[in-house]
Amino acid sequence: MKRILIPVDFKVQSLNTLKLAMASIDNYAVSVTLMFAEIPSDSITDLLFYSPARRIDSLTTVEFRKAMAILMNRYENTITEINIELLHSMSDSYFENFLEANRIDEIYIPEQYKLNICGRAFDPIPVIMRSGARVFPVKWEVNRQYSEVDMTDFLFGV
Amino acid sequence: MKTQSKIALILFISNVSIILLFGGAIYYSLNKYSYNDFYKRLETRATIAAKYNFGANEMNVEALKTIKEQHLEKLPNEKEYLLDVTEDPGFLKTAANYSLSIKFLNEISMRGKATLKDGNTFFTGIKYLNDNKVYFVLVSAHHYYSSHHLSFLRNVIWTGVGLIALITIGFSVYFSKLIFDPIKLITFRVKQISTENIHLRLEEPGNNNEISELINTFNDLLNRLETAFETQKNFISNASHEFGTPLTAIIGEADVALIKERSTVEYQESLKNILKQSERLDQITKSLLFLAQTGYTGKKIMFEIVRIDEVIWGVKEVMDKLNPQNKIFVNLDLLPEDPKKLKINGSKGLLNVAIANIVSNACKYSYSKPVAISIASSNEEVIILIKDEGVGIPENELQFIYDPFFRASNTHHFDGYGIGLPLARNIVKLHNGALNVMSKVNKGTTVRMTFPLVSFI
Repeated sequence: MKRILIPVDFKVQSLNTLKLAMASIDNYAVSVTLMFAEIPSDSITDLLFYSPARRIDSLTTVEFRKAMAILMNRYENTITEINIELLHSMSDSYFENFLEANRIDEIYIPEQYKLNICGRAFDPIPVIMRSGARVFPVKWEVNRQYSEVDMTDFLFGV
Repeated sequence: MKTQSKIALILFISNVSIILLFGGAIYYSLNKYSYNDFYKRLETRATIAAKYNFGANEMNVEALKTIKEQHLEKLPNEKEYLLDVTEDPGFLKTAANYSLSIKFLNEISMRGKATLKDGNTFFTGIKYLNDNKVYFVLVSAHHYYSSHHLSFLRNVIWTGVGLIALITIGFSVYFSKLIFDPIKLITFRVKQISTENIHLRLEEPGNNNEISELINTFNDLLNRLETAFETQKNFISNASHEFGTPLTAIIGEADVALIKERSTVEYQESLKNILKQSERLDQITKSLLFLAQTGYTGKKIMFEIVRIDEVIWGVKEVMDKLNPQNKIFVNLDLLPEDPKKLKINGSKGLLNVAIANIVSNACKYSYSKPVAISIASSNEEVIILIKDEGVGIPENELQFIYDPFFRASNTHHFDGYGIGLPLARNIVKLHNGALNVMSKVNKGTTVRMTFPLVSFI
């Protein structure tokens, strides 16, 4: 079984990385890890009651979950699971440990699309490039149309 | 009685009764306590009097007398009664001599002590036995506290209750006004709104409370009503125009033909034109009827399990036959692998009509440039996207596209009645789905239809 890592920013368009990645590895059993990079909060109460599940819950939107479901249904026989993980540090060794802990085989990154960075999030692409893992950039025509509402339509026609 | 007055009255009555109860309780308990207190003091004096009057030795007597005179203050109107009742079993003589009640004397005899209140004079009596003689020692006095202090308290309490009642009336009325004035204002404003000035809206106050929620709800309702009115007006004017045009053409054609004698060929031409216009009229009428039927379902339409991708393939086939130059592509990038995720509850015929309308619009308005149909499914619904690169719809006209017979300003070169999209939307709604249109002028239009899956319902 192949385990792949996809950095996302909880916008539907970032899932196109996964869509194109799956298009190129059609006949394996694949376990997908979606990764969101964010420096954790340093308030005491947040650390005390830290729950990644809750944080991810608050970050995902209805549209994002719908887009995930669409991809799950498209690649039902290939994708065994989609997990979402949080990356909490920019340090290289932290990332190496992260890859080892999640047993990642390959990483797919968007070539032209810039991940949306807001709040405490940071861009994980530099860390990914510095790591020793196999990195595959995927390219698609980025929809620069600003839309207040994130739509699953951004997954189509790409 | 109006709710406002009711509220004010309830507030007033409850407040005043509480205050009355409170004042009454204070007065009553103080009264009781002062009575008991006074009786005890009288009893002390009676005991001491008994001791030093009928007591044993001289020294004790003197000591007691000193104590009494120096330390026990003299109560107002204090009187001592030292009664020897040994010889008077029924107490009749004693009662007569000292004008005391026999019941009182009986009680002293039975219980050993008793109390009596006669107007403002308080009596305490004790029984004292000495040398086989029975003595009753009574002390009586006026209760100054009772007569003066307590009545003062009573007056103060009554004045207080009266003042509070006045204040409470004022407050209750003010409070009820405060609550009900905004509601009265809303009623007044809404009365002014009628079909003529339905564009009026209520002013929203700044704060976020229940009244502003009410006002917002009203304004929303008025918005919906206004939209409905406008839609109806538009529909009627559009419909009469659409019907009028072919009729005018028919009448004009016939009139011109009848002005003078014409050749057979000319008559045939005229009749051909009349026939064409009549067919057009027939087509419009049929579409309108169909639209009305799907919009307001009188009779039940048979629903069954339909595979939406089959419908799309069917539509593509028909379109390809009608117009081989069209470039319709079905995008299977996101097609779900499980066919169960493509099954919806619906009427195959109606779905065909809806999708055919949208797809033919896409082809028609884009001069046969490529049209992409994408199918995808989430776990609850199937999503169909029909994307064209045509003339698009101007942004300010997007809100009118669902109005029957509406045609956008950039559609003059294209044939059409303006029925296809409202029809499709009605059909989609019938299937508990949603239809959405996004467009950019000269870039293209994207129509998104979603239908709930059977497995999800």
